[in-house]
Amino acid sequence: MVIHSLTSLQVRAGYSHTVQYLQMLSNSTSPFTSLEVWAPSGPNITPQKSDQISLGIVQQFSRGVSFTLESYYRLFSNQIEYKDHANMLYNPLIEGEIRFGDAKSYEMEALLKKSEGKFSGWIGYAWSRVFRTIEGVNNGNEYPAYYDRPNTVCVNLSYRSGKHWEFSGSWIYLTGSPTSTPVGFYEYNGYTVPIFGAKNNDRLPDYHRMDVAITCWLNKPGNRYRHSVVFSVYNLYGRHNPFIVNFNKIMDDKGNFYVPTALDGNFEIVPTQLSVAGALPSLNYTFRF
Amino acid sequence: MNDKTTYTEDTSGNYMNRKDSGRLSGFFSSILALLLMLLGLNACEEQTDWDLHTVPSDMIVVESVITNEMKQQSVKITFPQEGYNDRVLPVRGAEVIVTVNGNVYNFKESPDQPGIYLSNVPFEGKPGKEHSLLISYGNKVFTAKSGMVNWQGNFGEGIYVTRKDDNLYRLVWLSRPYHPKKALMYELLIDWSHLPAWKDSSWSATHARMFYYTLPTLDVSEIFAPAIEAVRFPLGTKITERRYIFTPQHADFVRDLLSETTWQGGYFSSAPSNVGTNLSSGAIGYFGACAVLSNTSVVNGQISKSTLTDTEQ
Repeated sequence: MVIHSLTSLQVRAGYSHTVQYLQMLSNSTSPFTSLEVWAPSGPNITPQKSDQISLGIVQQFSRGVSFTLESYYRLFSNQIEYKDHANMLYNPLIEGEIRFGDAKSYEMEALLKKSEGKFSGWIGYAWSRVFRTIEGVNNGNEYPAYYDRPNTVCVNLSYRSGKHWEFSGSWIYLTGSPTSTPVGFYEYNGYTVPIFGAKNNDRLPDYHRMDVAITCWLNKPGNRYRHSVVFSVYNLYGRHNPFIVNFNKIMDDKGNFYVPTALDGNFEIVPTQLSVAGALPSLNYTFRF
Repeated sequence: MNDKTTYTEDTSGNYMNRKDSGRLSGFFSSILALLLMLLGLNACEEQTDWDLHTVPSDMIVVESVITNEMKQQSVKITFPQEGYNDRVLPVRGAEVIVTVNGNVYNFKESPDQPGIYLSNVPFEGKPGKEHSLLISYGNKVFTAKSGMVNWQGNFGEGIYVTRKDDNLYRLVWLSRPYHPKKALMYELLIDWSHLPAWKDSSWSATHARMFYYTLPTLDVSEIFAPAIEAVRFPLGTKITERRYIFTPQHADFVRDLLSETTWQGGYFSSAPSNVGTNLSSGAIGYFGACAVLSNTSVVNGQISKSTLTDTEQ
């Protein structure tokens, strides 16, 4: 629902109820996995549902500038989580590895946007939380979801020079994602085994990166087709954003990390983190018609 | 299952049997290898300082496998530690009893090895029978039960392969990691202290203890496990292979254990969580009972076979 006032102020309110009948099952914490299992709803997997209410205002200024302030509150039911050390691969009884529960999320977001002129872009900030409560996981206690990132900042700027050149850059910042780190260890058969307390009791370091791009339009606007060459750099300053932290490896003389196999107790564990590192340049050609 | 005599070496220098059902097909594995290589070029691992939120624990850790060997059986009881490199402290003064087939065996703490409790008399575990553990410590009682699997069928010869790097050898393959119906642990005790060039070296410089497993499950984190340490040893090294067969419950525990240790830290690690246990009253660890076969061989070249075979019981 949108209410236009006599001035340039717009008030928005909304309600949605959604039902999802196809569920993605994945037991990995890595963002790189593509080995998910998809399962339809059935006697043992009820459809996931959510109800959301939202409220916001949009204030228009001159020269294509606008300011938006929005918030939402969302409740989820029949959320899927996996039991500890679920067996997801080649398991004909995969539905027995699943646990069900509820979740809630809420957010407040502010966005300042300029969409006209040679210089355009937006700056946005969002504060949001996501929590889950699943029977059989974390002793049935509420815990922050993997994608609970309380603070998010996005800056996207673009400058068009003439008919052929466009320069753009973006910067994104997010609070580190929740992760489970050990609260103790024990030794079993030479292995150093972690002991965990509450699920997602810790957070990875905050995530941020800058991307830049230069676009060269090879023909003028108004043509039946358009083609361009884009040179871009992902993660311009090469920030190491870790996606996992480990407490099970040793380091050799050359600085390489390995899991110990000689389990006679004569090794020293070194905590490590894995990240997608370095700046990634790319060159793209695009043809549109 | 027949002995396999045809071996090929893959691009990673691993020897494998052409009929080995535990490996991915060539095309699929090439695609995955390419994806992992691209991922590896753009990913890095580095040491980090991490402030763990550790808490002291009053749990006890029980480590025991009763075997079918007539010997003094042992139960090891320790305390958990807060830091990953902290010294492991033994639990002293516990009362330990194991019951097998109605026979009760008392254990006494070894004076030379604190935390390790040895049976007063030698005894052997019984395949097909229930084994019970009872520990009394402080004002708590901890119990556990475990069966023991009979060997079934002729498993056939296991092989291990060694490769020579700079006059030293290392294991590159021992066993298939997956079998739909069997769960085994291979404990390798590697000893080269008897060789003349190593006679004056320390115990830790001339011994190694390694484990390999065959499990009835496959995990993504297992397939894409991180790099492991390579243990190198000279020609003439003695390798004692002890092969343990697990119950399904024990195999589940080992799978949990490997998920949190050997398989953790790769690109496709599973969500971390506590390792299961069959012990009561908040104790952790595992009490198991396994039939064991043992054999010793000597490293004498690039491909060596262990001659361990099991028979129906």
